[in-house]
Amino acid sequence: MTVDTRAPVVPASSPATSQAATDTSASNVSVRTRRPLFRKYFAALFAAVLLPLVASGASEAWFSYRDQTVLLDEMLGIEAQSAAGRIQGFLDSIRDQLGWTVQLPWTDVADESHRIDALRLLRQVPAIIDVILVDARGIERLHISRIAPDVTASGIDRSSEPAVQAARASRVWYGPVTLHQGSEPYMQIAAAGTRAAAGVVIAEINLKLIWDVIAAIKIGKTGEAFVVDRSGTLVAHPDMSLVLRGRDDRQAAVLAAMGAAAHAAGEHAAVRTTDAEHRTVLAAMAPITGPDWTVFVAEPISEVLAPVWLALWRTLYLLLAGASLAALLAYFLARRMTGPIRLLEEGAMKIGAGQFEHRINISSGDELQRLADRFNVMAGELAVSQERSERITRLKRFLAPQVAELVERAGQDALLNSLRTDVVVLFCDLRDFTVFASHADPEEVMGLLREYYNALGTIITRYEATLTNMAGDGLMMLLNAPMPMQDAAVVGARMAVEMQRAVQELVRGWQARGYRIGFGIGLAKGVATVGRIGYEGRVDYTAIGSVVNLASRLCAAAGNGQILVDPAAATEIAGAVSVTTLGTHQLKGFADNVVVHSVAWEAPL
Amino acid sequence: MKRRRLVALFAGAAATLAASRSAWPQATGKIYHLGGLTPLSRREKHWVALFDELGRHGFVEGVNLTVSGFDVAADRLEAGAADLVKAGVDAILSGGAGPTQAARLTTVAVPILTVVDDFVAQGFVTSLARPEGNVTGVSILGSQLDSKRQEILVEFVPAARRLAVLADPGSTAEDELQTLARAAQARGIEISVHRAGKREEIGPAIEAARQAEAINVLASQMFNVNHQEILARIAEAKIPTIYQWPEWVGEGALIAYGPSFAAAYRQLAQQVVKVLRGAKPADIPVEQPTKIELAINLKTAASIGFPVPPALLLRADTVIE
Repeated sequence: MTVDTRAPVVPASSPATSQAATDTSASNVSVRTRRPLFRKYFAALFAAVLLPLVASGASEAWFSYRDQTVLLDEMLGIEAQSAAGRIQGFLDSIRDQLGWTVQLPWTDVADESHRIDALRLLRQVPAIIDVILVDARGIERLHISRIAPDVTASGIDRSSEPAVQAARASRVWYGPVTLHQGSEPYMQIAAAGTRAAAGVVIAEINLKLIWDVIAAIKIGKTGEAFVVDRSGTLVAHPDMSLVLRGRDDRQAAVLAAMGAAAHAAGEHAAVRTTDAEHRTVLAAMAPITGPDWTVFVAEPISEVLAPVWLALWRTLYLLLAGASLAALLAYFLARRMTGPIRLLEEGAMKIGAGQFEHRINISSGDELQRLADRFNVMAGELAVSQERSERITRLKRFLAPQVAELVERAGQDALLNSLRTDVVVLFCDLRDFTVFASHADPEEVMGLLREYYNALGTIITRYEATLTNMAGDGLMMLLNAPMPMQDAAVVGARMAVEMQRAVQELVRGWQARGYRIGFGIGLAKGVATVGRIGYEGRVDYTAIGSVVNLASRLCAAAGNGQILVDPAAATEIAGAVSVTTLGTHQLKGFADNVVVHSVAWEAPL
Repeated sequence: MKRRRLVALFAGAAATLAASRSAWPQATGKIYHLGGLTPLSRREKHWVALFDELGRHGFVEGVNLTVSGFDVAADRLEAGAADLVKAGVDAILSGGAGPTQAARLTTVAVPILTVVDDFVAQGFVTSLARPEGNVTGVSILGSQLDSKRQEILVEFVPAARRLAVLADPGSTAEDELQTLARAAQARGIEISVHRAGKREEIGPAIEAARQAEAINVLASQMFNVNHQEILARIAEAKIPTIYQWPEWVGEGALIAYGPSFAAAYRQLAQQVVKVLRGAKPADIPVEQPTKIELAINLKTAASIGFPVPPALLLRADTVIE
């Protein structure tokens, strides 16, 4: 008697993989991010726009400030030159007019033409207050005044006067500034003709008339130009009062100090100094060579720098505008970046929580959209996988795991559809278990059953038998359904042998403990109707037919350690295991006597 | 929200710019008050000139300037000055020694701006450069030019041997008259002095002066006030006459030599501006006219039958034909 102990091949694929997907839903705890991506993106983008902007703005402001101040210094120097030119022009025009009176030579007799010349001079040049004509010897011939009565041929010898001597030597002479009655500034200008015989003209000039010139010089908005002579006396100033107040005026002293500062800086440089109103001013100077005067121009530094400040403010406003724009841009860009990521996160959470129908909707056209599409595909696959795993779990209720996988992989529940087919039905149960169960305590009962089922379970699984029913200690198994099986009867017989061996091992232990429990098996082969029975959510697979009853009866008839087989099965298995005929038996529910066979299992198969 | 903030930022920037531009306070809202202490109407040309000049410096009557006083009777000048002080004027405008003296006796606080012959001699200021008190203004070389006028008059009528001088004792000192006499004598000319200290005396004085071949009307505030009467009487007398103010030539005077009256008051207006802007009269030096004009009326010359010598015409700044 030989029994086949080769175990059927167990399929390698494990259901654990599909199970993992559903487990992730438990781990979808959202971690609070300490440094959100949005903030990082925002900061980076903002800085990327703002930093170059600030750098260029600041450098531009600095360079324009530097260039502007240099330019303004130069401008002020030019203003000083121009002011000096205008005052020089005023004096030159007087000198030129004086020239008319020293063209005709003097004779010893009084002549009217010189007088007419002098009168014309007064008419022509309002600044001249009086004119003295001196002949070639230096004798005064004519003195015409706007205020005093005229004097003709006074005979005063003026030949030793500096005016006459200097004019003879260098054609023109500028006298010192004198203050009439300590107030109004006057100056003498003397001019000699081309010929000594024409004599010399000495004119008294009212310097107040320079006011028209100096007041017309505009230095910016509130800047001013003023003239100081070689002794520091204020000669001309837009505010006439300063000039008229004379030599020892406080403000005039301040102006003189300003002048000295500008003088120290030289002709082509502007200096910062303080004016009479305690304003900081930028001052520049230019000499007036003829009378040895100096023109100073001064402009409040605040006014000088106004355009510079304006430019700086403009840069600042542009920077602020740029910064706002950068912030807006950074905000929108960062949003565009992190928005899809947040959608992905939400999607992952939902899918993780088992909402496999959830789809992440991103159409940014970039990698993020690709990632979202992957997520969506994954969700779909997860849904399929979960459905499958649920189905397998269901199948495993009555199929061996590997068979369940197989059925599932074959795809179809079609295998489980109802049909009439040849099946091998196997029943087994414990002898006298009910008696034992009613006496023993529940733990003992359940512990015994656990051992029993553990022993049987592995064998059933290995032989890929379909476990259709479990009732207490009794089990019903099918072979060749739903999965067709080669030599189902032989496989069933071998399985029965292994079961007997395994359980008898236990029985020995039980009996040693004093439990009178045995184990019998019935096996029959025949045509039965197989298929699913049950209702929604609770479906079993079973077989219906006389062969089932037959197997059940055989099992009931079997004593401890017996494997009873019907003739149909016995015929098939005869070559594989040792079968002995036990003769005909009357079985309950069967009209005819049935020939019962027994499989021997004690001997090695 | 962002955009709104940006708009607010720009608005703020614009406001700051605008504020810095308009930081040139023109209207402080102050109304200035000037009082005229003079017997003359403020419609006189020289006062019109003064207010015109003030207007050019931004002080416009009815806008930021109110004006009171003027037409103050000569005998109640001090009361008039007191009225002005009581009214709280920012400055008293005056002209001539009499009204100025009246103002000065009334207040030492309110600035007095005036056109006077000689500030120092009248004791209105300690020096031209530093007035020290509350009086300043324009000094008009009035009497200083009397001898120059005499010279021009003689040049106009070289043949004249008898010259009359119409003098206001209130304006002309005796030694000045002697100087004039000496200068005339040097040319062999005899001088008769006719004094008129009051309006009523003008007529008789001119009547007496008709004996002479030419008249020199000396500088005087009183003569100025009554110049129309003087011009009328002398026109009637048909005697060559020289006056102080070039403006009178336009009103029929023959010759005048002196600073323009209107110009002097324009010059005064500049000082008024300084006072209104906060300067103290003590710090505003007394100014002198920069231009002395010779004006000749050829029509008047023709009407009295005197040709104008070419040398004089050459010197004339204003010639009325």
